[in-house]
Amino acid sequence: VLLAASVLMGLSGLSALLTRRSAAMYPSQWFAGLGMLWFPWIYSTALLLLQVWPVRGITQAAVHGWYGAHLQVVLLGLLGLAAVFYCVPVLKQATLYSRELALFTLVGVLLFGGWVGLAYTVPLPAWMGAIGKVMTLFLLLPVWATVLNLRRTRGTADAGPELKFFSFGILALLIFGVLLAFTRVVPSGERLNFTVAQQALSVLLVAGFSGVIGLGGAYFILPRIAGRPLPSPGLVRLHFWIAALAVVLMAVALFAGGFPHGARLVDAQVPFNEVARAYLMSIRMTSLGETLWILGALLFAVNVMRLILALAVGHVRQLVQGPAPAPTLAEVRA
Amino acid sequence: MKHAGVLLLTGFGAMAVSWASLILVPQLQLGRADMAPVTGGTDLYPQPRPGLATRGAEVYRANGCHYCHSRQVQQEGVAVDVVFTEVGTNQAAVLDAFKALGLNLADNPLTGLPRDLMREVSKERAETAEKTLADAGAKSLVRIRATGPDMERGWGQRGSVARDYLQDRSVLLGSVRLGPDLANIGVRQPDPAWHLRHLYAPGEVVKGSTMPPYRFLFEERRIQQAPARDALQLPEALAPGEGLEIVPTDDARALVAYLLSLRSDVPLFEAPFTGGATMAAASTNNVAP
Repeated sequence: VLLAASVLMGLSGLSALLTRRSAAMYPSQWFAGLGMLWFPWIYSTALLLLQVWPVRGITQAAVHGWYGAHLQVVLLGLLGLAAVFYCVPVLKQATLYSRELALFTLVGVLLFGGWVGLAYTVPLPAWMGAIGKVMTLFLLLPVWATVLNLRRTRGTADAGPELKFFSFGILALLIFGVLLAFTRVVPSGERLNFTVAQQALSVLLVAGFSGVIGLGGAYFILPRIAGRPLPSPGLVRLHFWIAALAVVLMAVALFAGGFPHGARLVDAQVPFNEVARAYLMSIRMTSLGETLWILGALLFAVNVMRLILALAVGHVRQLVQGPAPAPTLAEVRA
Repeated sequence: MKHAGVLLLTGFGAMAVSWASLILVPQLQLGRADMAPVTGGTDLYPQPRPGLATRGAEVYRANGCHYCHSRQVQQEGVAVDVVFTEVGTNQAAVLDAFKALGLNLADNPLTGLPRDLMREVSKERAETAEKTLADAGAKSLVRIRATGPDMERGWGQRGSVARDYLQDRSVLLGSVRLGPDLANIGVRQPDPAWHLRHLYAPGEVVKGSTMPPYRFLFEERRIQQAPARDALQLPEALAPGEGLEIVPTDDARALVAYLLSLRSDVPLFEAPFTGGATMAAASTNNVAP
């Protein structure tokens, strides 16, 4: 069902792309268009080669690593960057600094992102781990290009609280790229293998980048779809700080906890129960971070429910009193 | 950019290259691997798992055991040792051989055999020592030993290799070690009763264990005519009420069968070792999950 739905989404996106009225495409369309086509391919590959006709033995780990990287880095990266490249210039009321840099980001993510999912500890041919290490370094290039592009996209308008979500998401992506390269390439970073620090990378990418940017995108688009501002702008700001705190808490606790965890793992004289003590605080902090994340989601739900309620009340009032003048964009932004 | 086709081709090319490299090539390189003879023997490895263990692999996956346990032993290198096994009849010649090899004779090396004579020497020096001792009428063997923290913990005698996973329908390597590595848990803990008790009450079996109890894999029932053969022997604090017993469900039995089947303890051409210390002799601190 998921595959069929994604194929339909991809086809509708492709047909919209091919039948567009204007030949010129905005950078966010490059990212979103490719993102919609990406999922059917990677999902069908993983489904067929891991579930329907599973490949033999350790080659499954190669498929899993390939799928994981394409899902988390390429697909979520493309969709997240599509939102960033659309929303940030609109919020700043400015033109994107460089389409060429955006194109460089796109090509970089496509070329390098799919290679970084394979841990070199897996007993696969050594060349695969070696290429993965090199690609983690190359992946820093498109990430840095994105940072540069957005920093130089200077606007004059008061950007509003939604921009914070996008800025935080890009910062999380940058930190993810640096820490990924550190754990894969730097010898002391290799001590973090099999530790909770590996989960810090997932937190940064999935929650810090994709999750926070998804929230920013939702807060950006909802008032525009509804034609009225969110009922509680204060809750949006509060949600940002809670979500940011949750991500920082989880990422810092897990990454910092990885060092004592790794140090005790490689010291065979340390009993395993002592190894477990090294990561317990990280796990507790992560639980706290997840609770904060859920709390933020509740704030989001409250805001959206109030918006829906206001819309419903507005429609009922319209039915009773007749049509009211539509709010201007400035009113919506306010 | 005005050409959507160029964009699509770029994406397709990038995807195709990574697909061919990371999926197709490993398939060509390793996809046809088959069982191979164990080094120094005729047995083929790895053998298919029994049916119950195969079902247990699904229980292992369904309960997410791989989120906390890895199944991949890491090897950092190889060490070559010389183990002195027999003195022979000419002790004077053996002592001369020791002198020729430049070995310290202070601690009476002819007693307490077998004993390590040389540790972590080059292969050439080990072979020279073996030949010199053989010429003196003594016997020794050259031991190839995998090294690394995982071996020191007793988690394996060699690093995991691709062939170890040939019989797995779902390869669950695990990437985090919140619990010990399980690649050889069947060697380290061959007692099914231990595993059942450990799944029911990890903290009782391994003091300080952080593993959650899996009590839903067991059922409490009234004792029929006699207690069931695999009813858990539990301490008083955990024992069920009078006339009741705790017995494993089919899932628990299958999971334990799978855990007992996890053993990659044979030398292979691509992962050699000879006569190292047995894993059972490793520190008990590191044995329990």
